[in-house]
Amino acid sequence: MQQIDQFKVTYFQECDELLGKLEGHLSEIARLTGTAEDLNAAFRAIHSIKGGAAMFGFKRLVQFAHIFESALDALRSGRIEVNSGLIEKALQATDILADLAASARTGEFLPEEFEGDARENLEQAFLGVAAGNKAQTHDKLDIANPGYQDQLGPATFHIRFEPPSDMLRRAIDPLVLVRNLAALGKLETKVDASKLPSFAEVDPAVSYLSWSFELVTSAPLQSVRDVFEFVSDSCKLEISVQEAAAIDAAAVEAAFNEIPAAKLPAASRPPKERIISSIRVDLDRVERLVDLVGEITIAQAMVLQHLDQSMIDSNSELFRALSQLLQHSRNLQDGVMSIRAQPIGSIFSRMPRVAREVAQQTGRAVDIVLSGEETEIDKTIIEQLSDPLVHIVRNSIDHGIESAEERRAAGKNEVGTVKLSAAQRGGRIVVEVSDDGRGINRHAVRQRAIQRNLISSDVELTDEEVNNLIFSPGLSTAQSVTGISGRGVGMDVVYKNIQKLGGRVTVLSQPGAGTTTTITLPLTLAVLEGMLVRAGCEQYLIPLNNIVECLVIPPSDLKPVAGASDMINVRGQQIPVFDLAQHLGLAKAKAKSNGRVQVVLTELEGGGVCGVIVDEICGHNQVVIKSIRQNFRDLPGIAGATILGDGNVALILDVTQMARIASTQRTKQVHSQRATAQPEIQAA
Amino acid sequence: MTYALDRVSHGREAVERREERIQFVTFVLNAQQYCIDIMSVREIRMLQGITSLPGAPDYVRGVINLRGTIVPVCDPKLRFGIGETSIAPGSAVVVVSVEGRLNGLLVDEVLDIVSVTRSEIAPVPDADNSRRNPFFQGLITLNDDLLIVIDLGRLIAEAESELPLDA
Repeated sequence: MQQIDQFKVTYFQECDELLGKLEGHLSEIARLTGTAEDLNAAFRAIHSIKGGAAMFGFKRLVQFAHIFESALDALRSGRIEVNSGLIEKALQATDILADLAASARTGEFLPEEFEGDARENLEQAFLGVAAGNKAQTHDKLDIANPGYQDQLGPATFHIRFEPPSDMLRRAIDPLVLVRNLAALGKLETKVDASKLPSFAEVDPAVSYLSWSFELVTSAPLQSVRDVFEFVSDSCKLEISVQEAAAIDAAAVEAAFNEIPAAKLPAASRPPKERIISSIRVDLDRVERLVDLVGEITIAQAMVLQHLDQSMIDSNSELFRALSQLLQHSRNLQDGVMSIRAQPIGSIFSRMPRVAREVAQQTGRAVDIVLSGEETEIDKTIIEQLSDPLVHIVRNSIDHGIESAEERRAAGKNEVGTVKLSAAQRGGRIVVEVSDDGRGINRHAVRQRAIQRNLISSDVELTDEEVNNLIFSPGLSTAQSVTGISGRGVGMDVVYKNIQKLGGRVTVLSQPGAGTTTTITLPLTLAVLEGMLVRAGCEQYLIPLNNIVECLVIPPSDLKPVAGASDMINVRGQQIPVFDLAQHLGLAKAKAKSNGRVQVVLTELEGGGVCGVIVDEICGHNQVVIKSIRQNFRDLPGIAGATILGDGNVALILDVTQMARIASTQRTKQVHSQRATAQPEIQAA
Repeated sequence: MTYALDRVSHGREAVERREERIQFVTFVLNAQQYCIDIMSVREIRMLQGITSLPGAPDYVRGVINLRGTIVPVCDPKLRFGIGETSIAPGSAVVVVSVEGRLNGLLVDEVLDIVSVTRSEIAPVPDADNSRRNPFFQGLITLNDDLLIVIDLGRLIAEAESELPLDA
């Protein structure tokens, strides 16, 4: 019983994946970038869902999947032409299929005719048309496609099945096929063993057998063919039907092998799917592995610290062994991390759907273009990236893309474009959402921000700063609140979520030409490259990907600014700096030996650079990120902690947050000063 | 888990409950003995390195590395308002688990494990409410020694929410 439950869990996991793929393939087709292979893959996905559902006895799921499958087959065989209306219906059917699967999983009851409308839609749109066309174009297919006229009398099928000799190597089990056939009706099986060599010459991995079956069933030919769906391209298969009308077996064969979906562009990809062998592993086990690798990295650092450098230098064997160890553990780390890596395509594929829905609701015409789907990123990040991405795409269409008339007037293509791209740049993943819409109305954003008291009316802001105001809570410039956006919750949540992942969001916008939202994310949440610095008597880690450069300057270069932090001049650019030890309230170590100041210039999220004055730069480390929140809580300005080679804990700094704390304190001071000096401006 | 005395219930069950034995780990803070339920104690270790946490309340003295996990260390003396524990290598840290979270407690010295019945735990006198220490859960008198039972939940929970204490 428990084992069955285990199988069910696996089935539903697969179901989720298959539904995702189904949607992805249908979306490809909807955008007319799909190929015949997409249609085939969509068909196979439904077929697999149906097969599993039948195994566990989920009747409603089976029935609906069956009709859906027949519908797609009508497309696949080219009996009806692909058009967007049909694909729309197919996508709706996908939703219903997902609901039915969810109901089968949870046991939750769905109303009797829940799937009724969708079923009728499918039958009318796909099969009704199919029935009309059939007579003219494909006379001989009459018997080949009775999949939807299930009430046929019993017929006798004569099937001859000769699998290729490498069948077993390709993991095709003939027993499964036979069992599936037997499930359809009364089956008689004859094995042809004439090709079997003498025992001494038998290669156990080669298949020598062929079969002939006699199947009495009322199932349509379609169902019989489906049994061989996955082997039909490589085996010799003859099916003949003995019924009232004797059908030319050759004609059936020809129909069967007919290249499907002539209306679709020819397959651009090789039609056979890559053979991917994979196993399913509980995420907890992978996490455990990741943790262990982290511990090894730490232990290794400890060993190195306790080894005398002179000992290593004088012993070349030890030196070689150590460098091998370092190399291997680094590879091990990369390997383990790559287990958790997933292509970002798994969430990208949902976006065309989101885009189409929003476009429909808002009456816009939008094309969505994806690129870089194969970019891999840590699974934990992927999971949390989906919602923010959906939000940004919705926003782009609802706020960015203009109506067709507006676009025509502006001399643009009536159909707007939203581009989604992902790429790995340096140690980070860059995800971009760009549209060719009207861009951010900076004036409106500014006005709204002033209205909401987010900024005061006399503050001068750069374009970039105004753009970034859209991430403030409660700000929306949409004229009317729609179900999609305009409630002013969202972009601030997007910002927070991305920030939680150690990422950054920036917005670039050109009035009339469009908006680009860029998200940059770390490759993984588990390991970080950082620079170890000392402030007071504590060591801290600054993430390396934030660091622009390190400077050593005489103290006289620090220029105090009234009511603000010190500034330094770096190649003509004024950069604010703060003293780490001072900011953290640590006792300052003794005066610097050489009287010079060490500054680490770090890039801030949302642009800008800030200098951090440290007491010493200790070196570069690769560390495993540990959570403080697990046993305590988050602290402002601290991104996490790590364990150093000596076993001590070092905190990882969130310089952006730290700089923001410093600057808000500063702005508040400035504002309060200004308020007392010129109260009338505040009132205006 | 509550040690409040069940004053109203009677009958055999109540008597049995009162006779149930509980073990406590006892330790010293400023010459006074305190104790905590042994079930929440994970381990006792010597302090090695501690890293201060900027922005945390002052009684959180820092974090330590407990075999790869970051564990905050509290100073109960600062919490109770009875001074400050001096930190030196070798200081004793009692690691406790409260609601799945690990915390270290800095103490002067870990003494013993004692076993008492529930009926031996007396309530903290609340004659003078304003001075009653909110972290004390009960009192145990054992061989002329007075042991104060600490309410770990409060000690830790307030550490998280950083609620200001009413003096």
